[in-house]
Amino acid sequence: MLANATTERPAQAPLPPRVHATPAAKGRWLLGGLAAGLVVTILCSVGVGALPIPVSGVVAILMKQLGIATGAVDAQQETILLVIRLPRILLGVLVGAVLSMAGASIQGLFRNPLADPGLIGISSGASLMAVVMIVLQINLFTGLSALSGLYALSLAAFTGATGATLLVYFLSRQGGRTVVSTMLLVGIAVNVLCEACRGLLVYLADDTQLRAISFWSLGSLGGATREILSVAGPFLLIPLLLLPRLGRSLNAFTLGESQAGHLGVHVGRLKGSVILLTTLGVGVAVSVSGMIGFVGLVVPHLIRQMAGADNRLVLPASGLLGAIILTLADLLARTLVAPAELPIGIITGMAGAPVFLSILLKNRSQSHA
Amino acid sequence: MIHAQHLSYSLGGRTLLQPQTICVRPGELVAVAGANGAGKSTLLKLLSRDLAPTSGTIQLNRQALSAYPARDLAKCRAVLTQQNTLSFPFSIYELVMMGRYPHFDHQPTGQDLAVVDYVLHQTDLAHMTHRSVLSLSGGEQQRVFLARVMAQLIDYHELTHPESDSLMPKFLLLDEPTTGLDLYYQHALLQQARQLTRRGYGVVAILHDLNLVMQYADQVLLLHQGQSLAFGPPATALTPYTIRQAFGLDVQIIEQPALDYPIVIPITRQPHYQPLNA
Repeated sequence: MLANATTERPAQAPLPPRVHATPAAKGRWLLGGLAAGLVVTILCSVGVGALPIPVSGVVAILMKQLGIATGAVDAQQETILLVIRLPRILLGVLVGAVLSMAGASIQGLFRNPLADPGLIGISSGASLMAVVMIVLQINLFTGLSALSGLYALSLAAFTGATGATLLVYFLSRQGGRTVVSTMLLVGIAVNVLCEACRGLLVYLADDTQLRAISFWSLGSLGGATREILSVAGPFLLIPLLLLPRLGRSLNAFTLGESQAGHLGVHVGRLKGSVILLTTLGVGVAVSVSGMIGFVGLVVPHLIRQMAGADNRLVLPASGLLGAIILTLADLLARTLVAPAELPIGIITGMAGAPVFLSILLKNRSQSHA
Repeated sequence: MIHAQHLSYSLGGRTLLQPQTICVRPGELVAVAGANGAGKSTLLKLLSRDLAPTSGTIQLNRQALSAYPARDLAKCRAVLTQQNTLSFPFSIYELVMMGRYPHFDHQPTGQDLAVVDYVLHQTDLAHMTHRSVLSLSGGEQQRVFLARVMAQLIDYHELTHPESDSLMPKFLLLDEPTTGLDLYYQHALLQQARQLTRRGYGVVAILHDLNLVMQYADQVLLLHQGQSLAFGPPATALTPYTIRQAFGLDVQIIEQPALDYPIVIPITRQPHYQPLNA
């Protein structure tokens, strides 16, 4: 380098040798592999249950839906697949993808690999409103229509999630700018307040209500229907389609806020987009499936272990892996103690914690080497 | 050229930078020196648009700095800041590629890849591009961050035609760039900066080592409590008198016949060290 600086360069300098081949290739392999894995996971898990359907049967039923007749289709299998299993599995796919991608985005926003959408109040707000509905047995919506009454709990949870997050967002604005470190502290305060109110309501609750609360808090995809899927699906798809576009800006953001600004990133717009999209996605996910812990934290970690920290890859890959993992977790939840069901949060927690610990221990042994 | 007129900055009633007029011409390396809290970083933050001046105007290439769209600004000025903490395992290659973000939309073009390769070779990083930035020492990280800001400014045609001047002058702002670097790389970094000035870049660098200022800077701005004590070529601006005003330290400035720059040596008047059992 010292020698380089002093020697005269010729007028037409030769380009330096290529450092390595395009790094995008590895990413395409990973995304392709995960997408294939997701398709296989869906096709296999859709067939498992009280009435087993072989993969060939699943394919035949799906082909028939697309208008391609490939042979005789069992009518009972068709009903179970289309009305019960497929909506549930698709909801699991969307919820898993949203939780993981939102986790990766929030980690980028807080520049901390341990961050979680819960930090800005999404989970505690949703949880508080859900408990309010359960304990106070508010039936505001029954007057309007029976259908919306059925979804009152989901609506309340979504309202709680967005309400708490907006509160955190606006309280942490100083002079027209959102200060991320302040947002963390405000988030802690709002979380504590929500948890305290929730605690008060749990204290007041009777035994049946307590059971409902604890089941909701551990999460379940058992409530999935075609209607829920058609209402929640589009709202879950919006963040899934838009968040990956922020990958490049989130990469620059990991250098620091001002450094990202120096690179031409509109920092304020980026923060607003991440907060809005994660709140929408996670708010809807929590409202249809309750609290499913650990997915948003562990899945991005797994992807970074495999493919590095580039958010252009981490965001879509986390979405795909999150979808696979939640589909498999739900498969266990509905088959392990059949005909009863386990809350899915128990499974994601039990499987996620050891995985997370093994990542930590592996990193520790590497940094000591 | 960067032209800052009557530039000042106050925060909460305290004036951090007194009004001053500064010019950074293409092809010049301007050093900013002064004691801690003298306003050096404030000045750099004003020039990099991190802070808006309380009064005064800044023009970059005859256009108001505040009027630049973020991405256009990113293409003609890059900033190396002091605090660079990372918590994600980006590879050296990915981090240097971030410097190209203002230049491409989705995937880097062949030109972007060529610029990154060139910069990696220039900064001695080409043999370790796959290493995670988290595994590097502080000094090595500083070199990677320097490579990133170089990748941000250099145009592809500068690689193929290094002698031709770039159309639009570009500016590099460095806040204590030699922090954490060993002796070799401190000089390597400043020679790199000099090489860029020969291509028509303007460089502003906050430097603490006055000998580095003497050796590499074309102009030096000496700040004291937000005020300019001296602004001019280092050999005339840095005198025992101005240095004493700025740092409260007596120095001797020695001309060396073999070198074309003088050497600054602090004179300490403390009692000599005495052995315990004397």
